[in-house]
Amino acid sequence: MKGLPAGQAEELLRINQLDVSYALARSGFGHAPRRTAVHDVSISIRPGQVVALVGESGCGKTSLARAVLQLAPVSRGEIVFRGQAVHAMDKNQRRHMRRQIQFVFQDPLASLSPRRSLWQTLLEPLKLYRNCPPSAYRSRIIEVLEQVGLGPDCLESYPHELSGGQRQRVALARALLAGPALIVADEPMSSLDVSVQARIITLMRQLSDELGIAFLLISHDLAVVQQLADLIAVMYLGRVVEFGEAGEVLARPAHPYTQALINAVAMLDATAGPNDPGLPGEPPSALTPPPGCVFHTRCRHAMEVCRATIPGKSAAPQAPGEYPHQVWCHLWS
Amino acid sequence: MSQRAEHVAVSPAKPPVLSVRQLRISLAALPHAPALVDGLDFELAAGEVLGLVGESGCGKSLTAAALLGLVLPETGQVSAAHIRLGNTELAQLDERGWRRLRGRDISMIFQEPLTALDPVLSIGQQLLAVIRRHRKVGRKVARQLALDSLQSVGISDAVHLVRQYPHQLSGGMRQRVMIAMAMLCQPQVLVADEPTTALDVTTQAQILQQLRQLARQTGTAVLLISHDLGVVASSCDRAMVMYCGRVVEEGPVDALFRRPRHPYTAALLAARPRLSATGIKPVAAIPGTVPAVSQLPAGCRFNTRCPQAGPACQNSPGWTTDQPGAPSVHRYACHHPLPAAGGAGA
Repeated sequence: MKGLPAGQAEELLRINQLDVSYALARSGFGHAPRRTAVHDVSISIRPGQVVALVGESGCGKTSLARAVLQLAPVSRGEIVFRGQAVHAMDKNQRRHMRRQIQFVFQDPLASLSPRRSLWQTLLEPLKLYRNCPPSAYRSRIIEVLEQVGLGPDCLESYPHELSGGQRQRVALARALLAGPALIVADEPMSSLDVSVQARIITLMRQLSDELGIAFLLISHDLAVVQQLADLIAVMYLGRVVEFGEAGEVLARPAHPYTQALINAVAMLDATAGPNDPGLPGEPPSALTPPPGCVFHTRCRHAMEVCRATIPGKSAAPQAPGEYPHQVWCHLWS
Repeated sequence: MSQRAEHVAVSPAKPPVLSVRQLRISLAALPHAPALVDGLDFELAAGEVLGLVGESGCGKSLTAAALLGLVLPETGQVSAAHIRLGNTELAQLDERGWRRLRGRDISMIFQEPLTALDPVLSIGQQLLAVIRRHRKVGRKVARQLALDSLQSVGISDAVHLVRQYPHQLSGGMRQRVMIAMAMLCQPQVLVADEPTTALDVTTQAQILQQLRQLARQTGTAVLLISHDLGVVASSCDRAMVMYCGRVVEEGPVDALFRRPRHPYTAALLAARPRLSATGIKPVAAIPGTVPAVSQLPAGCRFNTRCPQAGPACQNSPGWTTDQPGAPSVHRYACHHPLPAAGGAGA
């Protein structure tokens, strides 16, 4: 496990029993109904750690990540950054926090301005946060470009002149120039070719190992997650269903949903047996989640109790490790 | 013992439904650059699923567009010794001929179904439009055909679905509708360009399985284009690996991915993160970048990034095969192939 030993570890970010809910369109009478995208999620991240949120589209992983940046409405619970609750911060503290949490999006072509050269794009965080003197802007930008594996000759280029992998590196460089402690990366790899993915994986690994930057990595690709993550939270319909150290969760998945996800990846790799049934159906609508365990409609182990009661946290069997391996499933309670 | 294979019949098991020889595509915007697709040869048998793998920009999607006559003269120029679909020579078809053919004998599904479906027409209306265009059947039969095609791709509630609009469906459902629409006339060939790239892993697995089953049942041959080696390995019979517009290796997926002979195939396999219960297998990035079209090297186009490259690689390599006469030949174009026993894939 990376980061400091448990006793003296300082927490960088703690998400505490968080609910995120959105108001739906008004029907014309009374209050607008709300849809809860994230239910009761608690996660903590230490410096240098990579925590992965895994799940299908619509499971709430992006909502959770956006809530960390105050881009999604938190309706219950709290987010604590370096020991301070975000909702209680004043304007200055919030600004300071925003500098330290940076976001890298899925599609770099959409998140980089098409009308700005890389120089202009990369200058922005330096000017905004003034974390180095203007005379050092150029050398700082070149230094960071080097860290992400780009040469200074690309500074005059525009995003459309770069390849997908180069663009994603520019997006990372822009995040790094702010001097972050945590980078929230939303599917940073899924628009890239395999050969380019491999480089971004290596790069992110280096950044967390060498610069101690923590990552909240959002991905549906368990193979990518295995390469990077220290901890994994598996989400389904807005709830965390399994949590633990990456090696534990992938080697001994306890929740039927995690097992199904791993099977799906194995099947795409042609290593699963021909009779593997896969996961039937699709996630039900998050507007009307099923009662009881949200996964019971697709679970092959579903029992009577699963249809009625929401499962609580249970300990899954595990090899001794620093973090408990937790699962929210009646099979283990 | 390796042998030079000059005129290999690519898949002689069954008579091919689609046969392509010496396909070349060059872009009008780059008249002096080498062809973007250079000398592509392949055959597709009925019910077969053939994969076409490569990085973005290697010419995969351009090939797909050419097979459906979608490369406009102002965009680029397509030439070929022949492109034969059944008894029709596609290279000489005019636009009228193409319109009769597309959707009936050869159809296509795209990566992003939301842009390929019409947002203001219900699913039912869109399916019926295809039937009205290509089949002379009454309204009742047409309706039944539409429902049947939706059921064949695993949609249980087809009666309800035909009234819905694309934005009301999930990504997986939309892609199923696209497949149902493409299969309505039971075409001889279906070209699927990255059909599952935009979907979740669990849905990907379901859809690929259905695509494969449909090909088996109806005899439609599928050309599956993907950058994901896993997708190709799990759902194709044979595959071609393309680099900078040329196929560098092809063969049955088993042989290709377990014993890759071309260094590029091996490098692609090694770059792919793979889930393993026993621990992390580190990924190996391919050094360098794909050269720009205007800067393609002479000889083997991979020679600028290849760990095996030597002086011989300044000349274009011919095809080599290990098992001449095998029903589906594993062949590669390389002067310094990897040893037959080893290989990065598993």
